[in-house]
Amino acid sequence: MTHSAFFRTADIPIPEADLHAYVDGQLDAERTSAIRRYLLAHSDTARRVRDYLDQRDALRVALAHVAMEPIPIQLDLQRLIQQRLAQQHRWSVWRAAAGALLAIGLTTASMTGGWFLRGGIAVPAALEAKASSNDRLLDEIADYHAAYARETIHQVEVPASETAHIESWLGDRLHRRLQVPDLSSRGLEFTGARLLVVDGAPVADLVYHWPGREHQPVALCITFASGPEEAPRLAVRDDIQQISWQHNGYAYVIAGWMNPTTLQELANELMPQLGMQA
Amino acid sequence: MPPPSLARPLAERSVEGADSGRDRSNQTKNILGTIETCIPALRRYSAALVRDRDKADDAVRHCLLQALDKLHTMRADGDVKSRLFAILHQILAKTMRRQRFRSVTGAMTVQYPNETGYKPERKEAGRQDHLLRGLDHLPERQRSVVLLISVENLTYTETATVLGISSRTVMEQLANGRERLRQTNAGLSPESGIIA
Repeated sequence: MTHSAFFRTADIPIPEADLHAYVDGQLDAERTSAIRRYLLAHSDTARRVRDYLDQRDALRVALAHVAMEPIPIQLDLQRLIQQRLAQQHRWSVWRAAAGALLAIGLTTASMTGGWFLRGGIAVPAALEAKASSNDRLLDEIADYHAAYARETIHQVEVPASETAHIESWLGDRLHRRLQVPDLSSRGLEFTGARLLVVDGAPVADLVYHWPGREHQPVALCITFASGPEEAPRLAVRDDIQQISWQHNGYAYVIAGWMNPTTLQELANELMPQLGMQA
Repeated sequence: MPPPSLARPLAERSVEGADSGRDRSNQTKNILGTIETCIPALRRYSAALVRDRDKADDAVRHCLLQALDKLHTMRADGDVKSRLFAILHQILAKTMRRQRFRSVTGAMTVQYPNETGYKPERKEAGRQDHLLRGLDHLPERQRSVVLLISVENLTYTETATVLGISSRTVMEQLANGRERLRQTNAGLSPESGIIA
């Protein structure tokens, strides 16, 4: 609203909206003093404005005690977070909060706060991603993989018998249609899946195994891409071989104990299957 | 108004153990810190609309849980406060609809239970009671607009966002609400004077 100096006399009626903006201190200094001048000359309006100011103060006073009370325990934010963690199935975000707040054990480093996903687009995670984020992803996946490989019963969160659930659950997390790829042509059986979290972003971890080598599983991890398209490249972390590529907004990592040739073959087998879904 | 009594703010606790992703974890921490500092105001707004303090706090609880679910869509530097009020308002709208459905006239004029033991002077208390009762008789939207702006100090734009209405409607509702409240509380303000 621009008022030329010419019109800013004490006689031009002030719009109602401006009177309230004056009461609420939401006007700039110039307009404020113009209104003051007007009010000096118009005692009816001045009285009304004064009533509004009093009313504002009185409401604040009348309600102040609520805000001064100690916060009841059921509204304690830390507690609410813990409750949520305990009950939440949607724990990707939860782990992010937990990482920032609760410093829980060994997983903390990998769960420190995260921004991802808004309506299916990986927003800040992708924007803030550093060049090293792919390396971090590979580090984390290798660590998880080594840790979970030792497990027998809990190697996966959801077993292969619930593939349909896995597909909808992890598809939801990744905001995409997800079909568990079939690697039987390479002799691999699907064991099941778990959800990992790396830097606050969900990572779908699909686990396969060769019959008889249950403790040397193969992981296919899918998460949001941290960078542009990237052709497959090999990497190794301790004794775990990895191959990773980025396509169409998603990053893919295959990890396991095998020679690079086998890994390359698995990637070749998987890429068309995944590309069709992406 | 004195600052709300909070234990050590969340922003100062935690993450000593984290050694990476600092920026983002700091952002989460800041958002959670902001959320925590908003809790007293959320309770106040809730209590002003829903007189039953348990129900009011319950609404705040749901609001916080929902906010935690939406944490990843919030920005530390941005709109955390208005997002919280928007969530809370949605919840309260439902609560009030239910309450209106159940309540017979008398139930709406419950007095404020005063948990802090804060005892205003009798005359003062009478005035406040009168004012709050006047507030109760405002149409719902006017009441919200008046509270969000007068008490919670939201800007007009923020209020529009919280209530999902236009800024113009906010102004109209504010003007009408204040004027109505002024008239029902005609005895409230002292003699007229010139605004300093």
